[in-house]
Amino acid sequence: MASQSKDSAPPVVRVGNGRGAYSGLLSSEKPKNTRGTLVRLLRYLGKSRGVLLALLACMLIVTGTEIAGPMFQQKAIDTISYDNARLTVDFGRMSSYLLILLVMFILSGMLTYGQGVLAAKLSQQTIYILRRDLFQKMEYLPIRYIDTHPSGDLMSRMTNDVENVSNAIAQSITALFSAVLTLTGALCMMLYYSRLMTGVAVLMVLIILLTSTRLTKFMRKYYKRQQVLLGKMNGQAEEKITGFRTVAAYGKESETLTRFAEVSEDLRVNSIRARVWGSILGPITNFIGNFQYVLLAGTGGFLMIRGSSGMTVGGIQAMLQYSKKLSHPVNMIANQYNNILTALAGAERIFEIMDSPCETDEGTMDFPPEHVKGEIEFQDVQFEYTEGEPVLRHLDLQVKEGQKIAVVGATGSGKTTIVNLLTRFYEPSGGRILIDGTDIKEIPKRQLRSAIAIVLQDTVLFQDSIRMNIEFGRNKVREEERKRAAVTAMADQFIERLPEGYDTILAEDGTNLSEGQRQLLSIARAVLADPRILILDEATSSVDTRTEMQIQQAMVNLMKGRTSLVIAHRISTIRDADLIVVLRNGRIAEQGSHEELMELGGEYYRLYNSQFRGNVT
Amino acid sequence: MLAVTLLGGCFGVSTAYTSARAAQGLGNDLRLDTFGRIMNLSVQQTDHFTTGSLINRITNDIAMVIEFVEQMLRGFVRPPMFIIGGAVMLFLLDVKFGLILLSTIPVLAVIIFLVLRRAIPHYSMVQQRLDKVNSIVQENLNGARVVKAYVREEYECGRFEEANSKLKQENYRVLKLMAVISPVLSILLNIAVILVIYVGGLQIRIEQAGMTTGALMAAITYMTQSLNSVMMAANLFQSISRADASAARISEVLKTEPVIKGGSRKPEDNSSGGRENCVKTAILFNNVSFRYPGTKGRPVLHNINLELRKGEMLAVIGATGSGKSSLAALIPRFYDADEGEVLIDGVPVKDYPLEELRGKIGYVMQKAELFSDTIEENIRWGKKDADTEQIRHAARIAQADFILDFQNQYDTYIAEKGASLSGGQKQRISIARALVRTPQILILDDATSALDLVTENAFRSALKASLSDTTVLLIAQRIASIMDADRIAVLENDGTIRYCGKHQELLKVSETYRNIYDSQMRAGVMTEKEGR
Repeated sequence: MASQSKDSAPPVVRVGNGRGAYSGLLSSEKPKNTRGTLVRLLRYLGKSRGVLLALLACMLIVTGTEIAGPMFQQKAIDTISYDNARLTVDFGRMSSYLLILLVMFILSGMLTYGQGVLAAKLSQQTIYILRRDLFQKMEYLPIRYIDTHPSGDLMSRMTNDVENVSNAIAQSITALFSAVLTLTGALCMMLYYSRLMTGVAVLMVLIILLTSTRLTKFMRKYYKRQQVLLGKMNGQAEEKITGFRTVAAYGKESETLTRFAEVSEDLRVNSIRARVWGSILGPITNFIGNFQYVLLAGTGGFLMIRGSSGMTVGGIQAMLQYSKKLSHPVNMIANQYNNILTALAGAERIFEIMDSPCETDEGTMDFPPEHVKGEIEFQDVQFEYTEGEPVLRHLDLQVKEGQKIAVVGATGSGKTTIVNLLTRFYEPSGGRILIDGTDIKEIPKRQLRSAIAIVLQDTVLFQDSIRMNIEFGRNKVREEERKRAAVTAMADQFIERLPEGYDTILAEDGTNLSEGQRQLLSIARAVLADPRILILDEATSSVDTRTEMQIQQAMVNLMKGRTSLVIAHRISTIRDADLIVVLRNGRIAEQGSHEELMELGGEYYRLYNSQFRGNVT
Repeated sequence: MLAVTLLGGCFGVSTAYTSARAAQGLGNDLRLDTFGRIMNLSVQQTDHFTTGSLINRITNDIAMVIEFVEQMLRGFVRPPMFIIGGAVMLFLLDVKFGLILLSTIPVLAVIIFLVLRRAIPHYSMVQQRLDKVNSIVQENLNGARVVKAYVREEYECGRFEEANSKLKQENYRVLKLMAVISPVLSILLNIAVILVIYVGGLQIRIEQAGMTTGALMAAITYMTQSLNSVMMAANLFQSISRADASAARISEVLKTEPVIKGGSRKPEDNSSGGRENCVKTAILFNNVSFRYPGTKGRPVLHNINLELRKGEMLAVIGATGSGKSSLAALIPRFYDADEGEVLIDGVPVKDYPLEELRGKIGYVMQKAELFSDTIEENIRWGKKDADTEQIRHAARIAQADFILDFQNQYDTYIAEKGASLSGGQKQRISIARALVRTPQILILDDATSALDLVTENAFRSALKASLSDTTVLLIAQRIASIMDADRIAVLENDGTIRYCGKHQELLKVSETYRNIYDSQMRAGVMTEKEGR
């Protein structure tokens, strides 16, 4: 989390494993609670009940035609018979069967299209709802959750995992369902034709199933190794390309290439093994399938010759087709099985976020932001991020309305924590904080936060127009108001010089503005929000001199007439403050004006002088 | 039948093996060539591509090509063989069967082509919408505090809602289009089979035609196989367009010729005029102008004439950051000057072979780049055959004694670009790396920004004591860091250097210098930075 300084940051929870760019074929992730997650996921599907039912209806009819098809084909072919050692055909009957088939297939085709459209609608609708719910949840998660979970992991859940679930719903679930239907139908028809042949077919299918699962287990080890090597290679590529200047500066190009080549070769050899073992499955399945074909034809022929079971040529043809309708779904289910497991694992991670508690708000008092005077009081406040490691101890601080307080102190002394507590991102473990004499716990968070504006060390802006970014804190803003805020923040000048002015869209990584300009924008945002209480966490990063002076002026303008709590680094800010508070080890070590503190010759004196090596005056 | 099946199985496996070997071998070669090419590009060229895109090309794009090649090799023989073979067999069975096939294929092909043509542009649209959704999530995770502080949760949900809906719609559109293909194939295939049976029946009525039920069944199978193969061919075409995009990105890199190539001057060459200056002047900037490639407007450096004497410490300070760094970057030829030339020991830098040139320089950047290896190995990057004592010595000068406080000391493994180290610690290790090669020229580009002044001071003293012959170019933002350099050059806003001299002199003559001094010293920045 960017804004937390190292020492006073809450400990990070190690959660799960990050998913790389290659969630490979045999990613062997298993969900912890398959049944529960599946049920929950299905409930999401159920939210689009109408579409779901229509889809099921379509699938039933389509599968029905698919099952009936071979039977009619059989009847059509069986109109061919031997009559006095001569091949004849009852053409009239054949034609009528063919006509039935034609109508059936056209109907089936149209319904299959309908099925596809409905499946698309269902999957997109479900994923839309899932995404929406997840985002809404995320917005109301407490800051503690976000600080303690690595952002990469959260990001991965919201993107990768959602996508996997989306794909699973779109493809796997519908395919699975249709496969089960086809399987059942085919089996029934086959039994109708010949129990013996059905037995043969089922036996072969079981053999295929067994072989695939055995092989898959065996292959898994190779795929795992491939993933590891892939990660290694990617890591090297990323490191050396990002650190390219260093590689060039030290003339290490060929050495780097050699090391890379080693890993790449390893990857090549291992990938071949993995791929070969992976692709053996196909041909072997084919072979067994073809073998099954031979066996069935033979058995069918045998039955026909024996004459007792009424098997005909058409019947054999039908059986052969049905056997394909038997093995194909089984294959499909086996293929999808892993996909579905992976998706369920992903869904589980998503549900984990959704089950996390939201930010609570017990405040009931009505505390309109416009009427806030801006008196702040910290009464014996204590706080620790982790048990046993207190960051603030017995902090007592009184800030009068309109006062400017500069908070200084070494890293880890608790400065940023004060911000976290005042805005109720975190709650103190002891003591209380009052605004205008009211305990902030009793003020609804919305109102509390509307009365306070923060300007952080690491500027946060959004990929939107400059106008929207400045207006971020307010709902309806008149143009003059916005312009005035930008002028106050010394930002108007550079904005107007941009080719698209206020409509300029900020780039994703903030590259179209300099760091200093971004700071000015965040100040403009705070100006427009017009808070009674201002919290400034001054940036320490070096910025060019001209912008630096603008920022200093903008801050002065911003702080006019408001109670300001500044975590100060700039000497000008500190010296201009009404009161300087020096924190050490979570307590106030000294407070007073600049002159008073210098006379004391204590902590402040030491800090101040470490800034200057030579003469100041 | 059995024999044919067995044969098929064996060859199937060998196909898998050979295509995997070919594809992976290709991938390996591509990776090495691309990586090797990237390593030889100039810094300017890699900046142009952006590191993110380069990494993507080596990883994702090459992976896509490998997958495609394997798929193609395994699959491209089948469809045409089945189609042609099927057609032949059908014709042999009965001319009419063949005709049915020949009339069905074009219809199928045209329909698939039309659908794909409409669908493919939508794929990139879907990707865009997905990117937008993901970036809103990213923003809200990173900026959670700002969102909550300004009470904008609902607003952000609204923003997300819009992006989410758009994504849903676009995805739905694409899927709807693609949903046409499968039913069309089914209908056409089934109609073809019906026709086969019909024609077969007709032929049976004509006794001379010699049609048998076996032939009929065979015809049905061939028809099915052939038409399914058309479908497979269509899939392959889809893959082609995806792989094509990746292949283009890879060849873009491969086709780029390295812009900065070393010179061919041999170490023994001594240009006659340079000899005497060699002793006194280490680096000379002669009328140098520079502008970032691709930018118009004012040059970052303009008519720079600057001389660094051997063993001297010259500081550069100025209004904006970029000009100062570019000045330094011209020395090891990360960039080449647009006008004028840079000379080291009287010889233009362009004449030196790159390895020799860079071997004279120790370059330390503000953002230290360390690699996943031990601290000792990282420092050893500066000098391949450095022994332990040399490494320790360099670390001491760099004020990096904190290494001894670690459990594994110099064997401590730095993981993931040094995430476990603080900024100041990384900088000091980076400095040690440059020092271990006892460079002729040391460039410190804001390399001590994370250190407090006391430590910085100690470093400079140690440097002066141990490496007094090294010419140092010191770039900094803090005046306090450079006040006691031998000379200070002030880089103006317009890219020129008007004044160069000692601190007290500059306070008198340079307005820019005075401004910087005032803004920092009077109203400076006070932070408890890192010390020992």
